Amino acid sequence: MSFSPLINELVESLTILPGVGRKSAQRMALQLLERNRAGGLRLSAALSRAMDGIVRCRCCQNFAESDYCPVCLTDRRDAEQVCVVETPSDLAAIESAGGFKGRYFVLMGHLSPIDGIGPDEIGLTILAKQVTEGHIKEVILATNSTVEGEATAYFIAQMLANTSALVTRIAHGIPLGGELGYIDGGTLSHAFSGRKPVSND
Amino acid sequence: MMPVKHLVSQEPAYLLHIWPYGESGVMMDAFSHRCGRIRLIAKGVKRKGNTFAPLLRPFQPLLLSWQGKGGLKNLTQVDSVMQLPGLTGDYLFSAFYLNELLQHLLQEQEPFPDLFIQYAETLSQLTERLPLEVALRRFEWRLLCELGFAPDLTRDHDGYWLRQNAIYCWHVGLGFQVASGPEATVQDRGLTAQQVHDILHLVAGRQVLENEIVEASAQLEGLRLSAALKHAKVLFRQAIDSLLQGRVLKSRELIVKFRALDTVPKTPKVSGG
Ligand SMILES: [Zn+2]
Repeated sequence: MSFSPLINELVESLTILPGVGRKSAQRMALQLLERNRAGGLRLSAALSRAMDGIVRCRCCQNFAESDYCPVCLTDRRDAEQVCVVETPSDLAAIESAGGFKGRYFVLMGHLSPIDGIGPDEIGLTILAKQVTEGHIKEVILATNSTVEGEATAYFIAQMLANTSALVTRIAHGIPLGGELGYIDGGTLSHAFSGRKPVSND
Repeated sequence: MMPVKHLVSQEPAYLLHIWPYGESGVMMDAFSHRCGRIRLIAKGVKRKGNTFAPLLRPFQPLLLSWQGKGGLKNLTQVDSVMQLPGLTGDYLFSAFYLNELLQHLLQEQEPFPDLFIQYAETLSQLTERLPLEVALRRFEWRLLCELGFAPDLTRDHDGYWLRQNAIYCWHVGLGFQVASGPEATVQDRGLTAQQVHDILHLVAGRQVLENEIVEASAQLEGLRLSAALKHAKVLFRQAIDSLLQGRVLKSRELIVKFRALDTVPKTPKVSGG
């Protein structure tokens, strides 16, 4: 490679970004150096501030800039309901859908033995402690409907079975406006097993 | 000469593991009937409206088609054979255990067609919630046989038939040896010839019928069956651990932790609201 050591280092560093291979990393690096040095400096400052300043919330494990995240700090959220999600982006999706006024617990992953991730790695002991010691009345399991997400939900349900909290699982199934003929068998059978009585109120 | 495109069409397979790859793709390890364990790439499956995505789940019988030889294979088609109901609880965690075993113990691209059949059978037994321990021990036995590491359950390490009045201990690389001194009293390690024979009885089912398991249990009853299950578990674990060369199986830990949760006495549930 005919680039100088500093450029090589930058290219190498950029390849850690998801979906960025060597070629795109090189394009990014050269673009910043040729046309946007100010933007490059801004990026580097923001990156280093974020890496130093962002920690995990002591209560819900989500990213936070102090000991606790804004959702855990506010008294406007219902502390009796906690929704368990796999990632901060799942949390963001539920927040932007609106309607949920409780708090969260962010696992930052799911149980996946083949990847070496067990209950301790995703903070399940901390969750159990919060439920046994706190005033949580309902734990809503909003993990994904992948096998790992399901396994995580089963484990948590079992773990909390002897507490007084009600453990619920979000429903998975037919998307709004979806036609049955176009839905895959897995989703359809999931929707069937999660059916509910029809009420008129 | 034009390079020949290597195509495999509609190969029976199960996914062992699937993880994100690039912006919207996934990479996966699959266990296939005739090609063994293989690694596949599927680009763009996480985009909206992709028809593969919902089918790409472990523990479901699939027909996979792919292109490319060597390390990098591109998934070109997925068809579902049938939709098995989802595994739950202990059965789901045990299925993770099967996958972890295959993932770590099978060489990539080495075919194990008989083991594939056994794997498929074991999964359907787990789905039907048939006796879990029997299904797991039989799978482990078949796996050890296929890898050439199954303990000889009829002879000692010198090649003599096991003798009725002796107590044996099994050692990696040696096989059964007459136990000497304190070794014989170690929990579930010192075995009589009859107890070893019972293990053989437990695992040596050849039929592929679903009620096979019930038959095996019927031949070995009550305490003898549970003893054989316990002894087989200890014995096979020794053999598997020697193959794993120090690697710890996380799914085993998970199963232990999950079962420990189960022993906690339950108090009546108070409904929220
Ligand atoms: Zn928080």
